[in-house]
Amino acid sequence: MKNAVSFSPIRLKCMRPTSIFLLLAGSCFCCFGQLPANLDLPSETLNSGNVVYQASNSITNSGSNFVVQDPASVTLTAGSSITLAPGFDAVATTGTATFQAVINPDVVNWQPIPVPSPPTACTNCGEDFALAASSGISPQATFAPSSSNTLYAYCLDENADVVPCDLSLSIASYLKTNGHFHDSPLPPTSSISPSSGYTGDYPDWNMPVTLTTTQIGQFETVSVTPTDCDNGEEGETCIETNYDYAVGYSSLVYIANSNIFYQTGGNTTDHGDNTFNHWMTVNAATGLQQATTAYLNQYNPGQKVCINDIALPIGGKFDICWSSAFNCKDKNGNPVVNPWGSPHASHDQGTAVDVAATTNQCNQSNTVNIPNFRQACSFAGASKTFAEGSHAHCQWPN
Amino acid sequence: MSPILMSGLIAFALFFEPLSQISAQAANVQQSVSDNQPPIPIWSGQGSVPAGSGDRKVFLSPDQHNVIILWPNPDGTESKKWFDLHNTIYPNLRVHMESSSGIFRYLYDLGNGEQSKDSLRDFSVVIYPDQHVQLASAEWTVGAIFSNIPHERVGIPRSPSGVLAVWTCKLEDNRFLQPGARTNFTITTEARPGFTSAATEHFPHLDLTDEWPDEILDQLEPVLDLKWIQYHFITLGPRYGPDDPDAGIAADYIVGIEELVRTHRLAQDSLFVKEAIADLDAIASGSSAHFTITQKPASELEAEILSALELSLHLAYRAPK
Repeated sequence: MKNAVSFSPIRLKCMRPTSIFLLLAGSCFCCFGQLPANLDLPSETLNSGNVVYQASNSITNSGSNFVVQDPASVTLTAGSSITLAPGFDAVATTGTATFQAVINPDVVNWQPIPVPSPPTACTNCGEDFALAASSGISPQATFAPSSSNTLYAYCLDENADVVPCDLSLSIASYLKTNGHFHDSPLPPTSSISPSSGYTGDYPDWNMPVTLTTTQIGQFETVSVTPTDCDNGEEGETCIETNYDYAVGYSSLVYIANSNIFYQTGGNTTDHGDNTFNHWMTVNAATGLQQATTAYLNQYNPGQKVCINDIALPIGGKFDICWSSAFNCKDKNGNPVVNPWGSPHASHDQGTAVDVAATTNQCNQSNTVNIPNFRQACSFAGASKTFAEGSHAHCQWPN
Repeated sequence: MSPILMSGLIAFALFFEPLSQISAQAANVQQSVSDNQPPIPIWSGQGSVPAGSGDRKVFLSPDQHNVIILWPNPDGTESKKWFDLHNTIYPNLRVHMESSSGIFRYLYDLGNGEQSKDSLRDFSVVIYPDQHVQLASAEWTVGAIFSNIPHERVGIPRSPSGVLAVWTCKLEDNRFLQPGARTNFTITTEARPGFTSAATEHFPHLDLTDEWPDEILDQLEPVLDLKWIQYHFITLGPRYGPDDPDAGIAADYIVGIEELVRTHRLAQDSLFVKEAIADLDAIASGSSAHFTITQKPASELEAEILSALELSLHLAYRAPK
């Protein structure tokens, strides 16, 4: 970007930030008390003296004819932007006119935030994170929530040969896994069918069973218990085995605090701290990075956005309304208590994010304008954007 | 005096060293290329919903400027509600291209037609992914590059995707481009010109909140898809990298011109078009001869194409002696 240009008859020179000195003669400053946030310059012609206009956010001359005529000088200082629209003019009545705009060196050196590299796909990252918060679980597979999956049950003898047997199967949840640090009521668990049978009735003595998962992302186990393994022979012992598995999505990546993101929303609904509620698909994370970078560069340079709930480490139902303590309301304003259920349904798969627009959990400087952020998400490939209370909600295709 | 915008701590992107070697200006083709099929069923809102609608709650009005929604009531009944999509826009776009020392500058002049009902609130161009590209705008934001998401060039068949250069207006500042108004945008890049697409729209189309039923939000998705809801232009813009071979560029131009002929945006019997195609055929075949075009462009679009050909392939106009 060029920072110094020339054209006749007025000269611009960039040296200082967020301050413009309109210098047709000497300069000095006057003083101000409390600054206005946004200042609209009056319609007037200044032909003497040295005047300072300041605003904490912006200065413009929309709709006004603001003319600086030598030997007057004017200094404009604003926190984020100075817009000199048509109607502004600098006029020289004698000698060689010089219009000098001076910009702070820090601003001259400011560059747009580069878009972060898209996150790398990371199979099992969320699962590994969730497992680290538990112990004694050895998942052998991951099944998507609300899915049906075929497994095979069989019995082995002491020589590890497959033998026919009667067996029964039952399922249990490992409690307080995947960020669900609440267990009252207990979480629903997957179902298995049939839950008992004689393996000798099936080819290769492998009995097919269907595991139907719930919408809850968690770790579960199937207990397989032979029920007549002695088969009439003396001295044989039935040994129960367990098959651990995860219900969830194994490909979510972690969205950490960074130069553009400030995590919020943790430690609020018994779903762990901010390390548990910021997991996302690679596609959605790429879009969120892109939207956020564009938004900040265009509207709020040097700041971050506050990212609230995305998804749990392996996704699944994010039941933020499991207790009346959280004061949830439905779309008609009625109280909602829905343990292990929606709302927040769109946060089940790591495709949606809530970005703060109010100071409830976010510094004022990091809050977003909802329509503008929705627009950025839309350009970044979001398929659905809307206002969600005090947040901009952006959602990408699965 | 020119207006000066210093926004977001970036300033003076408006001003450039003189780039005077080659310059051309022409009005662009003024027809949306997104005039494809409506993405959801159309219903007048009168009488019963169209047969076979099943559980559909969202329909487009016949003029495609509204959605008609069967909104659920607490008592289980439904109310019919109309929502304006704010897509009654008739924008127009001109592009002026020039180059100097291997740097190309594209000046887009966007107008919102007098007959539009809605303001314009963003503008985007699909461009070549040049790391050093600079964007500027006289009145809107400085612009942003959506570099990590490949973007289709709408209406240009077989073209590779590019990245999106986007300008928006700060919605709370009320700087929308009202009907009858114009504004401009600048791209400075090392990428050479070729056919690409640009788009504009009002935003937001609907003030969606989480109070809208999920099934309605789901059914609105295809309506709010940018490919359908935005007004798309075929235009000229940064398309080719500095090292892209002339033969490939020429072949691409042929595809683009033929598409414009097919869609009646260029006249099939235009002498300019015929001569340009003949020259481009030769370049695409590997000829390194120096070609000229002796037929004067007969339309603004042809003039714009000639300007791009001069900059990309040095295919210059020379009046017959």
